[in-house]
Amino acid sequence: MSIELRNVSKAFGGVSAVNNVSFSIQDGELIALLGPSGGGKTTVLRMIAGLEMPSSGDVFIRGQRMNDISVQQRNIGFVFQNYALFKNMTVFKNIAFGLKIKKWKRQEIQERITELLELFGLQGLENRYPHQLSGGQRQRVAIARALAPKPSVLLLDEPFGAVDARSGRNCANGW
Amino acid sequence: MATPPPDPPHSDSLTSKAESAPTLQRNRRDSANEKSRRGTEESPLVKWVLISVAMGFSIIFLFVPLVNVFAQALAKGFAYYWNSLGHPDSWSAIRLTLLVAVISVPLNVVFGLAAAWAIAKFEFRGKSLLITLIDLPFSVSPVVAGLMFVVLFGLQGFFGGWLRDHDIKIIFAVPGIVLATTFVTFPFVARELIPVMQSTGSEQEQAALTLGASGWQTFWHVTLPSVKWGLVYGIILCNARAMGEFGAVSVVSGHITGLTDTMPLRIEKLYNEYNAPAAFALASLLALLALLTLALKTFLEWKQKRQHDRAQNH
Repeated sequence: MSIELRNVSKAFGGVSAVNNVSFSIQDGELIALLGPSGGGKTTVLRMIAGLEMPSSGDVFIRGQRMNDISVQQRNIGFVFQNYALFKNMTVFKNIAFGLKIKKWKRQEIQERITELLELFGLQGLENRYPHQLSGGQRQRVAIARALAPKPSVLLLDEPFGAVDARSGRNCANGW
Repeated sequence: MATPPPDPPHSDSLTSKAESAPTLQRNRRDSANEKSRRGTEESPLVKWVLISVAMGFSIIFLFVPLVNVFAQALAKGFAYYWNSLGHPDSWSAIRLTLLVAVISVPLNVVFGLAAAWAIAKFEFRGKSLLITLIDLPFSVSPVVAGLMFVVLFGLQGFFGGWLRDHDIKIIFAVPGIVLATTFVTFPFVARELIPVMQSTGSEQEQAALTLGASGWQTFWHVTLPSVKWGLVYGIILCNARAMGEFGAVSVVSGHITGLTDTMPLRIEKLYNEYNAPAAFALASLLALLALLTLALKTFLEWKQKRQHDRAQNH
């Protein structure tokens, strides 16, 4: 079991955002959390990532209890709804950020970035800044950045948020 | 055939060939806008009166005195100007002012960064108290601020006995001046940084955390670059005030010529000794600092606006 939530609840002040949620996701699975806005989907994602701590219940990743493990140690990739690209860094530096933190060698970083730029069709854009990119390009940079350090889990928050309703449904179907 | 309404005096010309209905409607709308615009705008007379008052005020109270500082400084010629700046006591005043700035500005940068980050990124009890405390040096009279330190660290002060036993001099010595200056200039950096940090939000930092960055790495690579213009601006303001502070320093310094006189204190002393040109000579240095601060401030505001506009085009 790759990810497992057991009886996870999260309350902010007096407001219950997540109430006794349990589910498990197997290795290699692709799962979408669907629900109305304000339903707690982002909160669940953030608890898996470690950006929020559950008020009660346990989060397991690869069989290990994550409640006391910090964000940095969880080796997950997170793509934010608003992409949260580093505004003062080029595309290259954005994607390479996680690799630099993990102290990859320069050559390895270069190779990995080239690979990702090709994969996402971002060649030629590596020296641009986020404000010089289109929305779709920014999204691809955000995904590339999250994938660069080869995480074991990839979490995407509202990946179809910038897309209109019908296209969103089509994307979900194609996904 | 519809005739277009007469051109209002200041409008851009949109009313050329109004034959079709949509264009006519548009003209009617423009004319209505024009009327409402003039309704909310002051009449030209009021506008010019206000501008004249503002300009006149600035010229009389700001520009003329500033020019006068330089005029008075050079009243006895450039040689006298240069010599009075080189006088050993003036020179030690300049050195002391620089020393105080070099200590208090970095201190306030550290405090300001820490306070701004805590306020912008976290919710905690006592947050509003912290915000109020940060603004305290602004609301307290500088003389009172100086007295505060005398009451705490003076010979008859709260810590006075302890300090005397350990042969530590704070009041009427350089440490007291540094303390007073740091207190008075504390809000500048924090107040510049708080709104900037609040508007950038914490998503970029959270992204850095998910990528494995420690708190310090996140601060250094993500937070600091995002506030750099606000930070530099805050430093410039802090520095200008640190070098020019008079009231609080006057109370704690003891006015010992050559030892505890900062530039503002020395200027006052020279003037009271009827050596106006020398006083103005030293004052002209501070005035130059003020002009330089203004120029840098304008430049940074322009740069910050450019960065903001770029970021807005998301």
